[in-house]
Amino acid sequence: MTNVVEVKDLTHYYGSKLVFENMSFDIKEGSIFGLLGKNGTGKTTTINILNGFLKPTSGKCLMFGEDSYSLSPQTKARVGFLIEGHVQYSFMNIRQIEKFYSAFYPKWKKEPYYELMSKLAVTEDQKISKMSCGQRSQVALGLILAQDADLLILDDYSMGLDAGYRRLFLDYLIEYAKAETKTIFITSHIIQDLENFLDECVILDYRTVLLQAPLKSFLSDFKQFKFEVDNHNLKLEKDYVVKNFELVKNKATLYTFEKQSVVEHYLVNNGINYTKLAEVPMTLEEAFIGITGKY
Amino acid sequence: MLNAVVFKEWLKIRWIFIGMLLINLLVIINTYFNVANVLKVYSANIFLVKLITYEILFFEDIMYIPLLTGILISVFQFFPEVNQKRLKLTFHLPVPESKMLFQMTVIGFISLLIIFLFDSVLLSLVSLNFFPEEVFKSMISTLLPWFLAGFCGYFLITMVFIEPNWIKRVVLTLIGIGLISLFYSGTGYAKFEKSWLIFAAISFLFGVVIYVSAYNFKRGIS
Amino acid sequence: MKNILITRIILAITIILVASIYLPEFYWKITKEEAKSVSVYYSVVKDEFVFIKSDIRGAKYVDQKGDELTREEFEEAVPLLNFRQLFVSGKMPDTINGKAIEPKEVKLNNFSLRIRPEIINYNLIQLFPLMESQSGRIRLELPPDLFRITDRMEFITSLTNQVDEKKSRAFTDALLKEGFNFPAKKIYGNLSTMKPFDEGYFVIDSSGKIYHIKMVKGEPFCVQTSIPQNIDVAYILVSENELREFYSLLITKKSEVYFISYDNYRLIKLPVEDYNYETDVMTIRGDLFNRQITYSRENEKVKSIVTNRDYNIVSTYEDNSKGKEVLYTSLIAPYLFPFELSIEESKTPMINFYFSFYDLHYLILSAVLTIVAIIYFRKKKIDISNGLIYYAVVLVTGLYGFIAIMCIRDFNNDSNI
Repeated sequence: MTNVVEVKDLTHYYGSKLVFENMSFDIKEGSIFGLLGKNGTGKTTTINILNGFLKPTSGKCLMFGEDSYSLSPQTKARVGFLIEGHVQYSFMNIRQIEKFYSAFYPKWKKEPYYELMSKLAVTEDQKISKMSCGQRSQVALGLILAQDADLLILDDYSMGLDAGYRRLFLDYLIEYAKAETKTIFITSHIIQDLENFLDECVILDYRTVLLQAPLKSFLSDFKQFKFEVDNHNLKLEKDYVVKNFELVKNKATLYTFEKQSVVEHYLVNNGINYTKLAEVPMTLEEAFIGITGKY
Repeated sequence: MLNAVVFKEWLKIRWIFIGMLLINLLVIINTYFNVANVLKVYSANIFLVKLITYEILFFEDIMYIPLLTGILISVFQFFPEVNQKRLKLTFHLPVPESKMLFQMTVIGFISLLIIFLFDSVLLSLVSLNFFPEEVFKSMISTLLPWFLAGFCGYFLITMVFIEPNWIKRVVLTLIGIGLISLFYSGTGYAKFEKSWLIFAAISFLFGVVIYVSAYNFKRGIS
Repeated sequence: MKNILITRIILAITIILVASIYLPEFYWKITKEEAKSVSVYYSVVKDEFVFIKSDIRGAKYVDQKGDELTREEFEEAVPLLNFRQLFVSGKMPDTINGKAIEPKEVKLNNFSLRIRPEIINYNLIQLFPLMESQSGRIRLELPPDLFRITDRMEFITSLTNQVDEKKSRAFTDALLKEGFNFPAKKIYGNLSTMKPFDEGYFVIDSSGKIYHIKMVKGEPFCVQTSIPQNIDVAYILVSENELREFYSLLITKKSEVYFISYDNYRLIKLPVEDYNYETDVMTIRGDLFNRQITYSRENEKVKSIVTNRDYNIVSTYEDNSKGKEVLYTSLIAPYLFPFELSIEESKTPMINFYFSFYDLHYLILSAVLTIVAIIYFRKKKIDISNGLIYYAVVLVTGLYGFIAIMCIRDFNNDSNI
């Protein structure tokens, strides 16, 4: 399988403030790739670099084999780009914006766009600026689908959308991704929606990449163990076993990639008296919080 | 693709274009009646000799209108682009960014050119209606720097909108104001007669500076 | 943009251009000195020059030895110029240089002309009113039309904006009869109605011949003057004067100065040396006995030549000290500015680019600023390796270039947009 996007040792500073250092990941053709991270961890920065709207301080970022900072028009035509907040040319109406974009993309298919529009309670000459946030997201989505791009880059598709529109959005993306060669790169701050959607994910923390893994293996390998302790001031530092540790009164939660036996051994070795140790299954969102921490 | 760009730019500027055309028209109609009324009070020969010896600019109402036109066309054309960073959409289109930017500014430029030609034609009609053609020739030569100020105003606002850095925006504004003020130097008819070509060249070179802002935008948007 | 370097250099040039206009302008504005002026007069009584030195505190009257005079003493020293005051106060001498003084005669012989470089460079709209020179009225009146001389002489009636065919034909025919070659190259006249009578216009035809055109009782008066065709005219200042000694002052491109006399347009050469019409202001005063020609160049010199009525030099005064009295602000300027750019000039109303260079003193500041820039960009870790040209710009254009690169601050040429 070929890589659609290759990020190698990407480092970026805003002035003297480090955003991330030596970030590397690849996006395989045909996969649905999620870039997850809390606010301010550099999701939009990564997307801007990927789309050539930011020159990284160092490192390389290739899209379809081209340096993302100087993409050729041919490559840009293969990339569908959803800007944070579903921003579009809001001074146009539904018909005008379709007419405008169709001139730029040789593979333009207007049917999926109008099909989507017909489901909205809007007329064709309604200006985008006069639509609701959900309706605007559908216009932006419809345009990207019509573009028939090989790679979709979606910067926080969920921003401002209620559950219904988020579901609708993902349904269309799943349909789109059925084609083998279509790749989706997505960021979102609502993690739970992506649980059955992503193939692979990168989790960003401040200044660093916490994890890159297929989603399935992340969900199966990353575990949380709950147990009770007497010591209300117990602290466990992060190490090869402990990825995160929380304590509320006497109830402790430990996040790890290790098996239960390893955890038990670890606690004994560290002289911790514990009771009622049990592995508790997690949703993606819980796992995400588990690895990134609540703060 | 050019048609699509023209279509998009036209959608943004059509109302302000028509509005400014109307404002220019009203100012010129006002000028017409000002002259007509002066000639009802003073005898034509006395007014004309005064106009020549004291260099009275009978069309001076229009002086800052081209500048205003240039600024407003740019605001309507580029505010929607930079608001919520829509320029990202524009630069993401499968066209080289410099080409896209060039087409967009040329469209703004041509719309200004149309308005300025409209002004020139109407004012020429006013002038030729009342005065010998010598007055009309000197009038055109007097109008030129005001039109150049209009183009510079358009370029200035455009680059200030595109430039992402606030300090650089302030610097560009100062340079632009300095440059634009030059076009309002001198009093009387046709004082730029010998230098307007140089000033025109400087104005259009100033337009090129938009690319510096666009480069900064692309390099460092956050 | 394929080459960001070029666009940045254009930005730098724009900044340098704007800075080199406004910074010196601002500098001179905040360091402006009080205005001082010296007027030079010739005392026919004392047979020497006397002066009025004025500044914001008022005027001082000084004689050639530098002794101060009272205002009355000054007026008595220059009696013909101040004849009204002296007649009123009864101090006018009965005779001067043995000649009996009549008020009427004094008044008739007094005249004054002034010509500034700015007037010569004026680009007035080329339409002229031709007044009736013998209307029989006390005051001159503007005609109802204006004329132009293109392929014929045309009168356009102002009220209707139509050509007066009859009048146009009459004047065109009269000119053709005199051998006039259309169109006119230059038309000189005095458009004022505040003058005792009208002498019309002196017109240079396309072959360089000078014609005199006026209107007498509605009829054309057009004559080819005897002024040589090869004289290269810079300006003709028409000035009607009851004395009727000369029609006008003629200045050539070589800065020679002549009167065109009533004696069949004979040229009377004025004995001026190193006068330059492009830079000097010239005043010519005449009275019963003398002609005084004074010309001065701002901050450089003033020269005054007094002749008798036959234009033979009687006395000369020259002062170049103005140039030596250098102000501290002018001393500092060459260290600050590599050059000054101005689009307006006192010697012409035309807008253009007027450069003034000083000397190489500015290089001291340039070198310092270049070093400051190098240190600054090193400290800020701004990569200027591709932009060494910018340092060259600072070195050459000094303060202006320094401002330019400090404004640009960004010198990467690594990619395109």
